[in-house]
Order: sequence, then structure tokens, then C-alpha cells
Amino acid sequence: MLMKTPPVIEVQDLAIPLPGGGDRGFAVDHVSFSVAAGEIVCVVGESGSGKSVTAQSIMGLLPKVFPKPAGRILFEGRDITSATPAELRDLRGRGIGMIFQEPMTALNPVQAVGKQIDEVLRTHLKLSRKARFDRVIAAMQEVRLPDPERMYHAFPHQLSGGQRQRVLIAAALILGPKLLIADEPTTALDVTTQAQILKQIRDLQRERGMGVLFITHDIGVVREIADRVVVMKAGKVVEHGPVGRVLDAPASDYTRMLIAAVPTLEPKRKDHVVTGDVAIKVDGLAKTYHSGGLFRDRRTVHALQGANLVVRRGETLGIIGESGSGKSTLARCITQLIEPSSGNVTLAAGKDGRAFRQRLQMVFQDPYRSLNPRRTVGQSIIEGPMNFGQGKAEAMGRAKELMQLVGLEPQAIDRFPHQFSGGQRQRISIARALAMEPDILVADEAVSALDVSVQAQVLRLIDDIQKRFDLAILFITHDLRVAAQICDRLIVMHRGMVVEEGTVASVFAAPAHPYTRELLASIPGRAEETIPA
Amino acid sequence: MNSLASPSAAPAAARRRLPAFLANPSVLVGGLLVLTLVLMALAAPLLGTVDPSRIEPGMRLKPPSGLAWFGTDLFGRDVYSRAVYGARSSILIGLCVAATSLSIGVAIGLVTGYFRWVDAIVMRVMDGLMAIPTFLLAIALVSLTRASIATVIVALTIPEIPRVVRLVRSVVLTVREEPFVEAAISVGTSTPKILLRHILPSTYAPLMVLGTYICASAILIEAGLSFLGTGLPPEIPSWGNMISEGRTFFQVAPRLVFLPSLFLALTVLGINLLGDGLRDTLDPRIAKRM
Amino acid sequence: MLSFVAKRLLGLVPVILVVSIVVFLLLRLSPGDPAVVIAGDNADAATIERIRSSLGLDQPLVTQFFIWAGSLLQGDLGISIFSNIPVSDLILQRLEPTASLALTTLVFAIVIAVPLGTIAGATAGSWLDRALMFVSVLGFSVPVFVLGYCLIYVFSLQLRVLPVQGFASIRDGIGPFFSSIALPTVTLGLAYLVLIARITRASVLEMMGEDFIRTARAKGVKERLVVTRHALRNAAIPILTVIGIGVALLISGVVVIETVFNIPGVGRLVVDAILKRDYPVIQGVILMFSGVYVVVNLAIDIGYAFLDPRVRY
Repeated sequence: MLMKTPPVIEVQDLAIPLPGGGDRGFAVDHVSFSVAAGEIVCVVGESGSGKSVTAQSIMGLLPKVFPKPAGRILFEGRDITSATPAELRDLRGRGIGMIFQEPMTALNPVQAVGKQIDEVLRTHLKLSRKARFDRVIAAMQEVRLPDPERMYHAFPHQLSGGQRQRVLIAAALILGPKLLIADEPTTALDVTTQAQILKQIRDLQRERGMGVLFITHDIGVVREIADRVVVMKAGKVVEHGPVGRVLDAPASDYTRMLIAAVPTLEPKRKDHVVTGDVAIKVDGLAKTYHSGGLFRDRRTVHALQGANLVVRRGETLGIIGESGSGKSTLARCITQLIEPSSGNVTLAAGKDGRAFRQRLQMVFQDPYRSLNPRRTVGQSIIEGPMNFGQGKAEAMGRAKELMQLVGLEPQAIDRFPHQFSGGQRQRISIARALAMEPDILVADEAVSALDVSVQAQVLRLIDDIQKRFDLAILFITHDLRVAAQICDRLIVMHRGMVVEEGTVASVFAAPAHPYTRELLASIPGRAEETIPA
Repeated sequence: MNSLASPSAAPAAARRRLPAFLANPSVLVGGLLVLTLVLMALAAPLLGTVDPSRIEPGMRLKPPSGLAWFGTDLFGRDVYSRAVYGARSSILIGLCVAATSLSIGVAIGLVTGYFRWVDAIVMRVMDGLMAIPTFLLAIALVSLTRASIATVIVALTIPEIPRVVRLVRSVVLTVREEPFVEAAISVGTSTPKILLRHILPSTYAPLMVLGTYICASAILIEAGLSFLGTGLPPEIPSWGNMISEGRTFFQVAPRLVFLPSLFLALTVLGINLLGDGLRDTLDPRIAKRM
Repeated sequence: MLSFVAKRLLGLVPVILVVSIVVFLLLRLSPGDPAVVIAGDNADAATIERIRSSLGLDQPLVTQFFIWAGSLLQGDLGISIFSNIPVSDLILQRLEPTASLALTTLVFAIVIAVPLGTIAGATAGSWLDRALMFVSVLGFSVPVFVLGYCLIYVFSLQLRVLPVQGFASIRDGIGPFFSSIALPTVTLGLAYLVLIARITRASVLEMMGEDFIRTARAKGVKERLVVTRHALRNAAIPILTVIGIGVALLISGVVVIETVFNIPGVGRLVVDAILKRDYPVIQGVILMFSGVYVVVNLAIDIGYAFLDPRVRY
């Protein structure tokens, strides 16, 4: 018989009180789990579930506001809660590596990236400069950073988000730690990059047989990467077990709800027939930025090149793309928030010569910043109608009706934005747009900042008002699952160009452009679903 | 139907700020100090003072006594009375300089921040003005004319304007990128309304803080000018003048320098404490803009 | 990099232009006849006429500016009305005490302020931090001349360890130089010191909350190195900026402090010139100090590029 080796990390009855003292409860409420060598354990939960706090406390990196945790944390069977600061420091980087959510800010902006990987070696080993350099280059090669010897001297701002995350992975793994803690490492990345990074982590984990503790909010990501799952809610472990059992036969209602809230890839509007007139027509819209000048080479950026599209009343056109694809530039050109370099936006001949700003309205991405924090929501809703001559009393009356329509209490009209939740604010933004009685609604990532359950409600509301007011909707999103819920047709954008166009079902079933295929293949958790043709 | 959540605990509500900033010890101590000095300036005749300008040749350089609590100066004037009355000119100058430079600076800053073509020109002028040391510019401006409270105020206001413009401009540049400004544009709100309704209110908090700093700095510079004999005319009782006159006799009668110095330092300390406290309670990020 | 420097240099042109226009207008736009203003209250008609023609006041304003600016470009700052000596010579004669004082103050303030502010920022809330914050408000509130007299009172009149006033050149020996310049340096440097220390504290404190600090800790880096290598290094730009802006504070202070300690420097020169209404001297000194301010801040601007790769193009 072999002696049973202890798990790489074992958390026993970990309890961390909420900061601020008092008896308000626990950020982490008596949590126990373990990670064995060679397995990936996902801790999944919504914001405020305590999953990140748990991860930070393992590293001894809990922010100072938190009181000292109770319970035990065993690293290879050794209790590290009572370790001295020096022992903990030695463990970090050598025994446990960690990567974080924001690769943009997790690297020191004024230090070359190679030096930042090298810092781990300098801290823990006594090696010659040459030996360290060689090891850094090897580590950079292992995470497939291109041209490592040149990139060694590059600064973080010169790298893409994915490359930065690879640098962080290289630094975390260069000393071959037994455990990697990954705190939402792909959340800030585009979906295609996310797929690459997930694969990278999986591959390295298998090669080295290390344990990985992977924190995420995304059920799709869990499906992609986990061996075992721990579901957390409000500081407590709700459920844990092998990935197949937890996701396919969840024991708790909460887990079932989490799984059900993830939109499916099945096109909801497969059978929706659009019969409305053309509401908006966009021809050859382009936007070019010039930079540089007297002392620099002129650089020209084609943010948007020759986009054409048509949307009918009652129809939703999805504009799909990752960051930098030009989808937001397109939206801002159409809404005349920026001036296009060339091309036209034509609205259908409307009734009684109403102004452009009345006929086309917008819902913005960030519900926390798109309402003026110093004005009541009523003042925000009536601002537009009053700009076009409506009387205050009349506008207020209408605003109350609209509040009711979007599912908010009319009396709440005198409150300030901070008194509402994110989803409620997005409803207010929709009411503000509807107050103008528009023909066309442009929604720029309108549900991206919302939790999945709230997302579903707002999507239903948009669907509802579209039918009621016969709106033409341009729905800009990076999320194909969301697009499947609400769009009739899609255009896919890549590097400023429209690369694909068609109904949702046809784009999903038979993508023509290689980029669309990559995009579809990158959707996390997709393998488990079948897309009906 | 989705019911309304109860108001959240977000600390942003304007009306809930008031008690918060009164609870700040800096605001409290600074505010009380400033309030006391303002009351002292207003009630100067009631505080056991005599005419601060009355010259008594028989009373020159007398040590403190029941008649003159802090003694008399070279001309036999009562030092205590002069110090109490000196608060009037200092506080008046501080407040006027802050008020004028803020109002002029806000007007220029709003327009400058919003319209790019104005920005290029105005900011170059402001950079130029900032390059001239405040104190020297003020000293030179005062020396051009017969010094009086009015000319001192003008001379101290001009060098402060660029600071206000820069602050307002930096706020405008940030706020105009906020989605709520884009939202206002997309419902057809005109540019002047956007500036006044959506952008101007964001400048109030930082301007309040900057205003206190300008007030403190104006009082210090005025004292410096008078100290060098280039500020207010000697017949106006001011702390700077008193220190200037007293320094000749510093080795014999240091009190001639120390009493007005104490008043001066306490006033500026009070205003600075108030400013720091306001900055910390209103928005700690303000510090980065100044 | 070269283009970056060239661009910054080019950016100076409008600043210098504005400075010279303002300085030029200072005299020309004063109410009444500048010649009368310069001549003072008891001058006779001949003196006024002499001043008028020597300054070219009979020409149109724009012509006057170009004549004035033209001679300025050749290094000619004009001639003192009072002593008939070229202004540039007057400034040069008085430069040494002022430059010595400025340098000692700069070193004194930076050497103390940066470590102090860094420690305070890294240990925000500690007693050292609180003490620094308290002293810094005091430092801003006490006028330099008041502080000067307090120090003279304690160290010169009561303890009698340092001379009351005066200046000894470094050529007279290190001992006399430092004992004469110690009090002026501390007096002038205190406000500058607390200004730098406060910004250092605030910037380091802000950086300590950044994600890359957490990354460094996760690598097992020692806390001392986390603070210096990562936090302070990233805080360098605001610190450098305030050192540059603070030069204005230093210049204002020098003018006053030279009177307090009776130091025969450029500050004394300009105060005497103002009292005598010697306008060419006033203009010359203002131009010189503005020039110093502009050059220091240009150097700092270029320094950014070395400190922060994101500034480089």
C-alpha cells in the first residue's frame, strides 16, 4: 500500500468575518474543500459569494480591512495559517503561484515584462544573471509568447491582453509551484483569447501534474476546464462534487438557477417573420483616425470600413464583435455621437418631420454612468421631450407611465440613480429612450454589465417594448449567447470590417468566415450544447 | 413585475453629505478657527481695542501693560488693537481673491474644456502665466499702482486664475466623456445646457477645496508683500505691515513680530485644515487634480 | 525620443512668448505715463524725458515690444535706471547667494521628503503618517518670514549657535558657508519639503492599492522591495511634477527670505528695485526666474519619458 499523499491544498472550516467588525456575518462562512495534485477545482459563484476572498486568504494576501481568518489552511499537509510572514513569502511564487483577473493592471506598467518574470527568480533563487535570463526566456517560450528575446524588454502597454495574461502565467509557474490559484483569469479577455488561455492553463496543468484552484463566475468556463466544482453563495459552500454531477444533476436549487440563467445558443427568433418597412439604412459608413504629425510618422487607423446595413421595423439586428472590432465605432457613427469619415445613415421618410434625435435613441452599456448621478431619474427621463418643446407637467405624466411600463414604481421618479440597482437603472435608461417615442433603438452592450439573472429580465423587457412600439433595434454585443436570445439577424465585425451577415440560425449553423467559426468555437461550454440548424 | 429595491447605502446623496463633512475633525477644527477669526474681525471694536491708527508719541515701544495688553509699537500704537483689526484686511483680501479668481476661472475653464479650438489658445496663455512666479507677478502688479486693498486683490487674483482654469478644464475633460453626457447629447440637449446642467455641478466640490487654498495663499502673499514694504500702505493695519515694521526691533521686542505672526499662522492654518477636511470628505480623488 | 524632446522644446515657444508679453505689458500698461511712474514722485521734466526716450516710449506699442524683445534675444535685459549698470550684470553679481540657497534647499527638501513620504504612504494610518500629515499642515500655514524669525529667535538669539543674518560664500570655507546658510535653507525648505512629502505619501499610498502590488506580493517579494521597486517607482511622476511646480514656491520664498536673513541675492535685488521702481531690473529678474521655472519643468517633462515608458513615442 502506498501512503496516502495529502492534497496540495486543504481548506478546513475557513471563516473570515466581513470587514468593519460587528456581527454582520462572514465574507467566508466556514468553508472546507481541497485540491489534489493533478486536478482543477473550480470555485464558482456570483459577485459577493466570497470566492475571491477565499483565494486571497490562501495566499495570505487578504486586504488589511479583513480581520484575521479562523480555520485551517493546509499546504501539503502543513498548516500555513500560523506561518511567519517570511515563511509565507517563501511559499508564494515557489509553492503557490497566482494569476489575477485584470492582466491590464496586474503588471507593473514601468517595468519590462521580462524583468517582472525574472523578479520571481531573483527573489527565491541565487542564480547568475545569464542563468536567470535563460530561464525567463524558456518560461516565455513555454507559454507561447512570440519572439521572447524581444518581448523580454517590452513594457506591458505594448502587449495585448492575452499576452499580458501569458506573462503573468509564466511568472506564476516559473518555479514549478505545486498549486496555481487563478482568480477569474479570463473574465477581462475577449472570448477567442479566453479559449486560448483556458487551453494553455489546462495543458500546463496536465504536463506538470499540479493542482489548480480556478475561481470563476462563468458556468461555461467551468464546463470547459473543471474536474471538480465548488459552488459558493454568500460565503457558504452550497454544493460540491465532480463537474459532471454538479452541472448535469445539480443537488441544490441555487446551482440549478445558476445553470438555467445561462442563455442557450438556440436562436429564439428562428420563426419570427419580419414584415416591417425599412427604418434605417447605412451605406458605406467608415471612420478613420489619424495620429502623429510633425515629428512622428503619420499613423492611420481604420476603425470602421465601409459598413452597410438595413434594419426593418420590428426587427433586431445584432452587431457582434470583440474589443477593437469596430462595433462601438459603428454604433457611435450611426447615432451621430461621432462624425463618420464617409458614408451615410438614412432614416426612412418619417411622419411630420421629427428630428433625428427624436427618431433614433440609445441605451448605453454602463448603467452606473449613463445616468447623471446629481439628477433625479424623472429629470433624466423628461430632459429629451422638454428639449423638443414638451411641457414639464405633460412630460412628467408620460415619464410616470413609462416607469410603469419598464417595471418600476411611478412614484420612484423623484429618486436619484444611486438608489436603484444596475438592472433597474438599465430599465430607467430604456424609459428615457422611449420617452422620445423613437422608431429606432440602438443598444450598445446594454446587458453586458448585468448579472445573468438580471440580464434575462432586461432582455425580456427589450423584446416586449419592441413588439409594443414596433421598434427597429440595433443590438451591439460581444456575447453570442445573448445575441441568440433577441436577434433576428447578425452581422459579425472583425478589425473594422463586416465579415459575415445572415440570420442567427444560418450564421450559427454554417459560418462562412473563418473568424466567425473561431468565435463560435470559443464560446465556453459550447461542446455540451447542440446548435439546432 | 419587478418591485423597487430599498434605497441603497451608496454615500453619494448630496443632502446626506452635510453631517459627514461636519464629522471630519479637520473640518471641525479648521471651521471653528476660521469662524472665530471672522467673528473677531467683524467685532473688532467690541474686543477692548482702541483706534489701531492712533499715534501716541509718548507711548513708543512700551512693554505690555494693563493699558496696552501687548505693548505699543514704534509710533506708540496699540499692538493688540492693530492685530485684531489686521484680521479685517487679511480675511477680506482672502475671500475676495478666492471669489473673483473662481468665478473668472470657471467661466474660462468651462468653455476651454469643451471646445477644442479655444483650448489650444487659452491653455498656452495659462501656461505662460503659470510660468511667472505668483509672488513676483503680484509684487510687480502692485508696484505699478498706488497700493490699496483693491489693487492688491486684483494683483493677487490674476496669478490664481490659471490654477482655477486648469482644474475646471480637467474636470470638464473627464466628465464630458461620461456616458450620461453622451446620453444627454443623444436626447438633443444643447451644448450650453450640457455645460451648465451636466458638467458644471461636477466642478463644485473640487472648486470649494481649491477656493480655500486660494484664500490661504492670498492671505500669505498679501502678508509677504506688506512685509517687504510693497503691499498695503502702512496706515492700514495689516499683519504683514506690523511684522515689517516690527522686524527692525526684533532683537529688543520680538512680540512686535510674534503677535501678528501668530494671528496670521492661525488664520492660514484654519483655512488649510478646512480645505484638507473638505477634500477628504467630498472626494479624495480631488487631490490629484491640484 | 529625439522627436519627443523636439516637441517639448517647440511647446516652449508660446509659453516664452506669453511670459515676455506679460512682462513687457507690466510696465507699458500701468496707469499714467510709465516714464513718470519710473521717475518717481519728485522727478523733473528733463529726467522724465530722458527715461521716455531711453525706453523708446515714443514709439507705438507693438514696435516697442519688438524692439524690446529683439534686444532680449541678444541677451540684453536693459539698463538699470537707478544705477545705470546693465541689468544682466546686476543679476550676475547677485546670483551666487541665491543659487547656493536654492541648491541647498532643493537637496535638503528632497532628501528628507521622499523617504519620509514613502514610509508614511506605505504605513498609512501609523503614528509617523499622522505626525507627518499634522506637521505638513503647519508647514503650509506658517509664512516663511515668520518661520525665519522664529528660528532666528531660537538658534541665534537664545542658543547663539548660528549667526543672525548675512551670507558667507563657499569660497570663504565650508564652515562659515553652512552656518550662514543653515537657517535660510531650513526656513525656505520646510514648505517645499512638506509639499513633496505629502505628494509622495499620497502617490505611494495610491500605488499600494494597485493590482501590480498584489502581483509582486504573490511572487513572494519582500515588503520593502514591494514599496520601493514597485510603488515608489510608479509614484515617481507625480513626485517629480510637484518638485517642478514647487520651484515657483521656492522662487517666491527666496525673495522674502533674502530680506529676512539679509542675504545679498537676486531676491534682495528685485525687492530693492521695486521699492525704487527700477523697472528694467524688475522685468529682468522676473524674466530670469520665469526662465528658470520653465527650464526646470522642461527638464522634468523630458525626465518623464525616462521614468515611464508609456510617455515615450
